[in-house]
Amino acid sequence: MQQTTERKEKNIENNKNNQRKEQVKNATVVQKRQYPFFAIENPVEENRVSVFVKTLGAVLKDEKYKLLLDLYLNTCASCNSCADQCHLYQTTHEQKDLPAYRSNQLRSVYKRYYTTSGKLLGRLVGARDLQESDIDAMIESFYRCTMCRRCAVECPMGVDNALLTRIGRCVLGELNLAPKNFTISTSQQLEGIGNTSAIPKGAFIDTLDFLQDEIKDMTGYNVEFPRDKAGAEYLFIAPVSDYIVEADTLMGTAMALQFAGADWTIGTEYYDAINYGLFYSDKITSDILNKLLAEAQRLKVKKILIGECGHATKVVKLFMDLFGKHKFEVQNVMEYTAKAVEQGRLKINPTVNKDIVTYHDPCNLGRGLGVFEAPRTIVRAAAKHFVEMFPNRERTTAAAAGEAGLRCRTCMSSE
Amino acid sequence: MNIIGFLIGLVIPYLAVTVFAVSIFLRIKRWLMMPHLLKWSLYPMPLHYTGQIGYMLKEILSFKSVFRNNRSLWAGGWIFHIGMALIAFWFVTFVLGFHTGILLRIGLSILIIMPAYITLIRALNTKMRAISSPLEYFNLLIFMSIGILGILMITYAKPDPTIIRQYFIGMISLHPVRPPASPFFLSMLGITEFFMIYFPNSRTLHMVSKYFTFHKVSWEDHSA
Ligand code: SF4
Ligand code: SF4
Repeated sequence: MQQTTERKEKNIENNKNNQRKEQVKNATVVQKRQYPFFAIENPVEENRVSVFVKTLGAVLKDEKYKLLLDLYLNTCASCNSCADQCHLYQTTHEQKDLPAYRSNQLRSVYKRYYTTSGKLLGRLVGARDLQESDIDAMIESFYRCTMCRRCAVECPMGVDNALLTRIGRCVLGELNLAPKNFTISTSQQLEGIGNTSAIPKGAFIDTLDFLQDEIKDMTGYNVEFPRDKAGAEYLFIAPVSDYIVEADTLMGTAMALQFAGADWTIGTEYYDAINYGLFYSDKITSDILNKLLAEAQRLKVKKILIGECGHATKVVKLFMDLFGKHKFEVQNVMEYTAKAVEQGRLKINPTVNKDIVTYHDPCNLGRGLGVFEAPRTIVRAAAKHFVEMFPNRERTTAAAAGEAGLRCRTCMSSE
Repeated sequence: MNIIGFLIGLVIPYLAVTVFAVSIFLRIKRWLMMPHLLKWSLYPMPLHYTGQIGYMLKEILSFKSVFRNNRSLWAGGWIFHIGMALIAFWFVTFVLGFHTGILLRIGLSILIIMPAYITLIRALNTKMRAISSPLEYFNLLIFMSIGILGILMITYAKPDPTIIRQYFIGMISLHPVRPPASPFFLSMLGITEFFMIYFPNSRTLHMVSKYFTFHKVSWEDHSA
């Protein structure tokens, strides 16, 4: 009896020692953990594996993803056709950049924890216990993919690895594992000054005035950037950073809209089309989208006109029915302008542009939304010599202003 | 007839066909109910049924995406599927009263050679190895073993085709008769039955699921 008690006590002591050792080991792991190529704010460091598995479970139960994931996660012929289409893999030739390999990282967790075959047969059916290191590998891998969807065009099974990348990122997002330049931008938009570049309303209005003066100086025309015009047909909204870094584009847009006779306005309560939620979180996608829709509602406009090359237009067109508290007709500014050219409301003199001009299809606007012709109509009207670049249309590689651009900036910011 | 012959020849065939049909039916039913909440179309897309059917037929008949992107796998995969089609064709004509032995031999040989070739590609090419799970090799092994047993059966056991035909007709018309006693035949049948039970739960189900990935996701046009 005496001996048994002693043994028990010894066991308890041993267990405690082991636990202490484990804690020290974990603490070292936590301290050592280095996130790849981008800084992360307040990452969740504890129970990452169980949080990941639970979050994936919640996504698998979500009405909008449930059957779609059932389909995508159970379909893949492992043929690597996607690899040949992926500009990333073609550049690096690294295993982690194979689109199907990346999707399998998510599949293996799904199989292991959410399928009977995976629970019973494990690795035989491609299921794997999720390890801390797998999460690190996924962070890197899911953020190397630009979500451009080029691979989907050539998948014989119709699987879109970009959507699996997005789901993977959303799951990681629940662990706060998202690039800092996304999270800083979105928190500025939702909790800070109200836009990704933290430009206060007064400075924004000054910028609009300044751009009007610039146009006058450059062309001699009085072109207006109308503001807060209630009841206008269009609410025009562009990425706020474009007012600073792409001012020429916005001056051109204002001229095109005015000369085409558009009834448009800019809202000064919310003036940023960017929605980086698209790249890592449904909740943030929805919150930012609703800020935009609320501005359109405030100004009682009929339609929303988005002045950028893809992701912002995609968010509103694709997610408004799902998340939006208000509904509007949505157009990209290129669609509007092309129509104005076709209808003869906007006349452009092509002889002014004598150079050879081409057009790089952005993946979101092209593959993602099917806007292929409108930009070509505009360029052909505005330049004498239009030539197609290759690859083009649905085979375009990620354009600098698409997600690839975000990633480029992401990379640069951490280097 | 021993117990194994009884099970493999008379009981499990019905069980396998039932599991196969019911599982596929349930999957299809589930996917058909998929709500269009998330818009995730891919452009350009064939908008009309004729275009969609054309695209599908081209993809199914020629494996055009794999042809463009992975020629060596395409050669193996395409001929492999032709082999399966030949065997299916042979089976239908056989039950109807014809016996084109050469067709069966070609089909079975393909079922050995091509899976072996694909196995090599998967195992030796680093890029392919990285995305191939043990299951992929296992699926290929199943086909290879059916091919090998089939060839061994027609070469060495040489069972009477009339008995085999009567057996199949009996099974199809729900008037089962004693199965041929050849161990090769029973092994082949057993593996095929196993495959039918296991198929709806494997990724080989892609022949069904690809319809939905295209029609219910990529080609679901939301711009109109
Ligand atoms: S979405 Fe683009 S970057 Fe990502 S795997 Fe596909 S082709 Fe590569
Ligand atoms: S192309 Fe499609 S089926 Fe082939 S490996 Fe890639 S995702 Fe899988």
